[in-house]
Amino acid sequence: MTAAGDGWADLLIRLADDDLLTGHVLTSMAGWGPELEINIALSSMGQDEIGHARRLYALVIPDPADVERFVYERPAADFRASPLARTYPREWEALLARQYLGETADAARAAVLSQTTRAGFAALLQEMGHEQRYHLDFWSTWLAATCGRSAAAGERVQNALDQMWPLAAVSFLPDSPDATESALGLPGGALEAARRDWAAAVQQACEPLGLQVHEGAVDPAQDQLDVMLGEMRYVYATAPGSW
Amino acid sequence: MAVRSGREAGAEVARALQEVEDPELPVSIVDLGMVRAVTVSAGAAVVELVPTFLACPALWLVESEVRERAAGVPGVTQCQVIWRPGGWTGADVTEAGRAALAGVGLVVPGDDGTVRCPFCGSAEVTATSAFGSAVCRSAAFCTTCRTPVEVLKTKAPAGAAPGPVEAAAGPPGPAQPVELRLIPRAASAATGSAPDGYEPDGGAPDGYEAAGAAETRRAGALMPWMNRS
Repeated sequence: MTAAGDGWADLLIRLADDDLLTGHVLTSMAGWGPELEINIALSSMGQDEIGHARRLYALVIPDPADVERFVYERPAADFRASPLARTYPREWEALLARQYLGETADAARAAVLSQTTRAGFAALLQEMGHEQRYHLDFWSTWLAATCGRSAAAGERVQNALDQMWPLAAVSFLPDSPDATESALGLPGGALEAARRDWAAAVQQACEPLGLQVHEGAVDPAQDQLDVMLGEMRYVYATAPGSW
Repeated sequence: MAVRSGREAGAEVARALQEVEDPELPVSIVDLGMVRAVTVSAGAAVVELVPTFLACPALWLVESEVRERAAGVPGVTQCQVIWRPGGWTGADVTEAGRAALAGVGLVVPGDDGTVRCPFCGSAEVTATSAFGSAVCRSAAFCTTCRTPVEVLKTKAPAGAAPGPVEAAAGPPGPAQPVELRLIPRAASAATGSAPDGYEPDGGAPDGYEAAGAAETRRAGALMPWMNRS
């Protein structure tokens, strides 16, 4: 499909894989929320993410039938999803931390990527950003609301943040930032600068909530890609050609 | 919508598209503002469409019907549909489209952000959730006639500040400093209580209603009409 080392294609597949897995996580969690509106929100956001993944894959692979095979039949080792996107939380606080960190990183990264000389990609990023503002607002609100519930709730969020932050911290940059910047006509170091600003902004936003951002090691057990692929492929087998 | 060249055939394709409805809404895709251009050249039609929301599940149905309708126009032998991320907003919906949507209880905010209840005309419409029954809709409630109302979500026009979240992608241009904001703790505490996590096997946590109210207020920052009540 694409050769490794192509900064443009590598970036698109990385972003698309992230959105695909996030869409799967959110739609899988729909139904487990404490009230109907939250389940609708999870489902809606998951649908948005999968729709964004479709758009991104289509920029690399024009034929939808090829995309379907690429998505569902690709070996797990060939997925380029980030460590954060590979997590599959089952608790509210972990989902909250995953999504808050993921959405803020998405927005900060897109602000840089959208300055690309590739006008079509910039327009797509802008439109995706408009849609995801609703997501970021939802997760920001619930992060604050959950932390404010009680000391015990705040502690659970802190534990989830401790779990997710090391993954998020290594997920911001694409695999080859230099190749990405070159392929998109961006100044060298722009992505790393955005990563530093994002990390500082997250720390600043967390402090008023009583949360601390702690450095830590990535837990390999958080990589649940195989589980997610198993679920997606099960559905694919029941309805091939639905991509 | 622009109709370019192809003269009569192009105009006829454009008219034919007036009959294509959004499968989820009883309104023409033309009145919904989804058709951006129609070109016919040597029997080949090219229709440029913009999605309301990128993840709309009805897009492939729309595309299929566009092809079918275009193929029914004399002189048209093939039709290419091109989807463009064109920054659709509620402002693209025609007056006829707004009227058709209002007929099923779905409101398009006015240019000034005003939302009026499609049933009683009241402006006392309160948001209940930024997420509704489809990716392009939010949920609201008319406090005058006490009827649930759906509101078409609109996207901020290019370059406009969408609300308090300022870390989202902006238009191409000079780099802007990233600013991330959260609800201050005080604002959350003012709701009385917030959710104590969610426990799938333990039922709904107490206090989540109050946090929902916080979400409603927060969502109001994205959709100004939400704060009217």
